[in-house]
Amino acid sequence: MVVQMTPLMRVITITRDNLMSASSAPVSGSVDDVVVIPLDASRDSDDHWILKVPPQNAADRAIARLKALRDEGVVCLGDDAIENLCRAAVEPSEIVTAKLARHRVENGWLYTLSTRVFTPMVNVAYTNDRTLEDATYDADPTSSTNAASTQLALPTSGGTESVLQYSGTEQLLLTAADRNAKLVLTQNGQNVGERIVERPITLVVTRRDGDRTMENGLELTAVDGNSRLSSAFDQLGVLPASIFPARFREAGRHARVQPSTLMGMSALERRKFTRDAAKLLSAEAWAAAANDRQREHRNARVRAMNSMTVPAEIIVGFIDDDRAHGQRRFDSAVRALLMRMNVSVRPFGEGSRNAVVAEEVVSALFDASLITAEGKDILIGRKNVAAAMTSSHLNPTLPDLRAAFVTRQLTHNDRAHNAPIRQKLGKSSLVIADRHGLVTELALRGYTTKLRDATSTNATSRLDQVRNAFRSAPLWQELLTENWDVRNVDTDDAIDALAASAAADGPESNSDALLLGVLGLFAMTTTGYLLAPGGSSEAVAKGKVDRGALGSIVRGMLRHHWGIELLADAVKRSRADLPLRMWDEETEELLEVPVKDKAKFNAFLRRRLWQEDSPEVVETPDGLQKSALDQLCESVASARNSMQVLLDVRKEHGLTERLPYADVAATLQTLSRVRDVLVTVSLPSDDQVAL
Amino acid sequence: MTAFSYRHYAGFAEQWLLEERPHPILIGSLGIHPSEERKAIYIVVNSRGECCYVGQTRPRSRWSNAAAARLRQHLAEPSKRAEWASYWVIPLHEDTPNDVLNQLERRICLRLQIPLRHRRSR
Repeated sequence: MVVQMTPLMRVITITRDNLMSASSAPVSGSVDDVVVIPLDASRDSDDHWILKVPPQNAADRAIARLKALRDEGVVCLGDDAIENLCRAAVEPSEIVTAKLARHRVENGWLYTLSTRVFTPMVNVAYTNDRTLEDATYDADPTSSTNAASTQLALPTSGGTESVLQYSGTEQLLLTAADRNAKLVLTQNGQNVGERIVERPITLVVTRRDGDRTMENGLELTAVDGNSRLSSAFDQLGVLPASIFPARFREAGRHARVQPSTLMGMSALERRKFTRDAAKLLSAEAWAAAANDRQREHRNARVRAMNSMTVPAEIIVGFIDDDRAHGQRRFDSAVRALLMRMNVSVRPFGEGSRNAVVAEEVVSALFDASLITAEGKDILIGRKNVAAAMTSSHLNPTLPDLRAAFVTRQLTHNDRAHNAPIRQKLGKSSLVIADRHGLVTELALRGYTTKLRDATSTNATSRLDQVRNAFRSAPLWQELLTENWDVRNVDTDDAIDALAASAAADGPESNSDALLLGVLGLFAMTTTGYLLAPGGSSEAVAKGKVDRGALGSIVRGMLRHHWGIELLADAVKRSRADLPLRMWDEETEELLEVPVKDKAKFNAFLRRRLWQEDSPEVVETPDGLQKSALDQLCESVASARNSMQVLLDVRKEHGLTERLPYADVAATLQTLSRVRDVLVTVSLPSDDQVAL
Repeated sequence: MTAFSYRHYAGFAEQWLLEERPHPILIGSLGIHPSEERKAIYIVVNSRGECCYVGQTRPRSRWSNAAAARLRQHLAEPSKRAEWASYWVIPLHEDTPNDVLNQLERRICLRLQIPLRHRRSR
């Protein structure tokens, strides 16, 4: 039975001794006291609740039950995993009688078990799906390759068990875990300590196959609830060296509890650590405190004690709808469960969601042998990118080539390629819009470092701005319907040759034109010169502009020779890190657009396209008259709107005084003159048709 | 809007005009008189015969009687239901290019002083 008390309520335990001694009950002082929150009704001889770690054999019946469930096919874990789980529980007897819960995921059922566990016996996840869009990737040729910035690969299914498998060196795994814990702590710290963790976190059994220098490659890690868990670790505070294993003391890493500290202990050491910590905290949480400093120390211990346990839902089994798959799709199932649990404070950003789906699609394409292992490495962009690009005959220093490769792989429009996309998105038929997000997230991984280094003056990073621009449809129809491919055009001459070829035949269906278009699209957008359609373009361009999405702009450019030249120029200049150039209207030469005037590039480009594509004025006298009349009608409509605005302003601000004559005289006269002239050149009303 | 002015606006379509239909169709009778066209301009009038809306149909799939279908979509909006009384159709050939359709719609709007809306450029 859990008794919930409000944090600042004073604890008054009524025993004879306490009535006499003033120091064990909190006295009013300058420090507010944190309250121990008991997890059950047991009390010791002093009527205090203390945290007890059950002895070794207390878990035996729980272990037996889970093994029986394994025989039934519901639980799918090895012996060591079952033992680990049961010994991590605060009350193993709960596991004996607990009912398993079933969760539906896209391709099967996940089974979970709910029980409270000891915080030091579990761990945070080593990677965090929610931060995918903020990471830096190996795919960016400018990123450095030290361990701090290398992204750990997402875990995969672990063979025949319902287990997640991480691969990587020990150093990488330890750093990743610590980094994740720190990240969620700073971004989403939870109020653990004064309160116990109340909402269950989701745990999954994890195995590490790195160097076996680590004593124990098996533990429970969080799928969801990393913030709560990391906050709990933080609240455990600074613990005395005596309860840590000896070798940590020597290495000096004994002060705070960190994921890497726990990962370095064997299962036995971890249990002993938990037991010793529980004993210590229970004693010090109820200690006498004579002054404020002692009280503060006691409060810290109470907070630690409240953080020693956490409710958990542990994934113990997975049954695929198609039994033949076994546990192969377990990792997807866990990820699907995580994405549905979007109730926590940090929801999946659209970018991260797209990134997760994109990686799943790539894995599926690889499984279906539609891409090679090198192709997969290039697309995912976390490791081996340079080597994979080189062996695919693409220059690894050019992120736009990689982006074109990504675009090509995700725009194949045949049944085999479409199936994984449809399945991962849960759709029965695809439209081009479904692919934009996937292409964007993977392609942009080649630019993460470059766009993050150059910080702009306002809060949104340049990467976010570029990602925002890509929200407006970067792809266009011909990329799906035509046959095109990515060639290694890595020199200026190669680009010029590409442009010449693009201008030759009917450009839209020409493979080279499409490649140039894609390269140009990334060149213009990642440098910030081409933006999503926006309101200010007209004012800047002083006239009507094409408000189409990115893809339609590039497609429009490919229809004209000036557009093709401009695309080629943009690719060359962006690769050289030079400002882009735009056509000067009078001299018809390419003039550099300085970086501070970037918005002009966008505006003038759109204006030029609008002029090219607006319907032609028929040059016959009748046609010219019709156009002139159009303009007159439009002006008059506009005048009427302006009149309405004037009336609205008067009404809103209660202006009832009539306007001064000098303000309106000339306008009135013009209006009546326009009217009179129009009447003289027009027939009277229909009914009196001139015969 | 009269038969006479209808003929004039239909004349804007020049060679793309399918046929003239110089009679209004009551909104209540949508779908009772199926017609053949897939591309058309339609002009909606209220109970006083004043034009209040001009639109075009350009369905992606192959149905006929496109004007009625499009109008049915519009009539889901209560403000439109309240005002609209009948409509006139200018049916066009199947292969009318899109920019001709756009230009036609725009020109008729201007002549009738009906506000242009949702235009890609303003």
